Amino acid sequence: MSIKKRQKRSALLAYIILAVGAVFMIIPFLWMVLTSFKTYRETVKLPIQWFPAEWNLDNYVEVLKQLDFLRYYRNTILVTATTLIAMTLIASLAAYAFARMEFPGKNVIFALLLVVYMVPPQMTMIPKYMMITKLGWVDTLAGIVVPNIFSVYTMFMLRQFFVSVPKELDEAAKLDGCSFFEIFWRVDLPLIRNGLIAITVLNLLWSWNDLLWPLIATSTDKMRVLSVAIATLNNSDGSQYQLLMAAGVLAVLPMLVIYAICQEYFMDGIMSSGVKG
Amino acid sequence: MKKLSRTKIRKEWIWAYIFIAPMFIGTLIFGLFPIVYSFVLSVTDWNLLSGFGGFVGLKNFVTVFTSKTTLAEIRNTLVYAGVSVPITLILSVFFASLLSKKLKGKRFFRIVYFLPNIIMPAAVAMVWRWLLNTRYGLVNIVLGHLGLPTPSWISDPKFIMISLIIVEVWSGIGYNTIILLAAIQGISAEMYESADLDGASGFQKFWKITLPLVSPSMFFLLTMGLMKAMRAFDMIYMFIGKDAWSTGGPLLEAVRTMVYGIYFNGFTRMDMGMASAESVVLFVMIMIVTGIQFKLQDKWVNYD
Repeated sequence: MSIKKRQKRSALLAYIILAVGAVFMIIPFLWMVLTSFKTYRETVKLPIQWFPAEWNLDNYVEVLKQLDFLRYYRNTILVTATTLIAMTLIASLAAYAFARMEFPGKNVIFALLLVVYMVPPQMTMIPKYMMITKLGWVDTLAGIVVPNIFSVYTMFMLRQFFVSVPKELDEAAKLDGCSFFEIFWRVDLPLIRNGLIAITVLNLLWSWNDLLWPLIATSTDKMRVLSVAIATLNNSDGSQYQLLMAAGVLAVLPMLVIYAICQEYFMDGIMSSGVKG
Repeated sequence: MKKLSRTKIRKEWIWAYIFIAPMFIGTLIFGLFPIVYSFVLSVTDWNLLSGFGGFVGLKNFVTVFTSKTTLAEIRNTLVYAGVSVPITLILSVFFASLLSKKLKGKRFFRIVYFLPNIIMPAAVAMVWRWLLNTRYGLVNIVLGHLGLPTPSWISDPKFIMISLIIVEVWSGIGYNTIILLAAIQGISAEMYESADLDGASGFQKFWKITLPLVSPSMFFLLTMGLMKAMRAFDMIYMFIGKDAWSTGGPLLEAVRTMVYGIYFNGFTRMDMGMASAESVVLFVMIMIVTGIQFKLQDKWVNYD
């Protein structure tokens, strides 16, 4: 009886601590949303005014009027979509070859990719910038996307998934006369579907949110993405917080919606990233 | 049999090379070549504004290790990573061990704790700048109500690093907690049951069972976390604001990190040689820190 009571009490304590933690995690978002509906006067009122007197979309309308937000959305979606498609295709093909096929030089090539993976991408941003300048890719989709689609990390993760698929299925398909590509495309790729989606949602998040490379690779509004737009806004209009917060909400809303829909895939992705390969 | 498999093997080779060709060629061009090029650039005097000034040996490296600004960047990078990562890890172990209890709503907490990672860092920084605003920020208003001091979190050089570390910890807890929770849940219940029979307290179980058994995950998180924190940029770029990074000053000195310095040297001063030298130094530093991790792991990481 007393053990049960003790357990109950410790569970309650755990709840309270976890709830306090959760409040800390959520408050910045709540504050962002609340502020985005306030007027400027309400944001700088003392003592503090917690809720806007009137809930309207004025700040959102203002942001859309002042900034070419629709263009940033279009650019970000374009960048993210092309990055994900190219990255996933390139990485999964290579991952399959390393998981399933034998060929001369396999270990050397694998080691080489590993070495590149070990080097932080920030170290190579200067040469990469000079390369895209030479190629005339500054302010273009290619300049933002191409240097980032060769994800050795994604390849490593997908290779792990392919390794865990039983080989017998490949053998059976081979006997049926399927080519290597058909086996990859029709047999193995569908089998690692869940892992593939888990990695892809994390890549999606990274691609959507990335700031440093798009900041370097663009200099005008033409191919500007949301993260760069937010940074520019932050640096130019630092005191109109109700507008900044409205822009912030607009920039993060798509990822929040996707997170709400696919949280299980996000959790799988995080978990598989933490498993020692 | 042998003959047959030989032709098959040849075919397999060709397919394999086709499969890895995009990855391999792309990584050579946008991965390996820039790495090599970075090393070459680091020993040149190359300012895009004034042109190529020839090879200068280790001059850029001497500047990195003697200039007040770059030394501040090295120091800030180490402080930022060295303080934020351990704090994040300790808090995460704590939260993960609470979550591992038989609780309802575990899923809810996991989802909420990971939320900060969903938001783009640029927006996160913007929100925190507002929360930490000296006069109207929520943080200082709450602190004021509690009768606590209300510092200028972002405009005071003494506090800006603390503010950045708070935000870094806040955004890192979710990922770390989820990984550690998975590790704790992988520990067999029998271990705890037999400890219960021996009359172990909750703290003893945590110290003697949980901690040693999740140490491989903690090692992974520590190593990856330090690597990531040493490359921090977004928050710093967003926090300092326009004025500080055009004029410099003590606020910038207190917070600029190495990636910030690489960005500043490369894209504001257009000094590719210095920027590359600093990249090389950062790379070597990350390698050394990671190497030390691996050296020390025997002392505390428990692989069974």
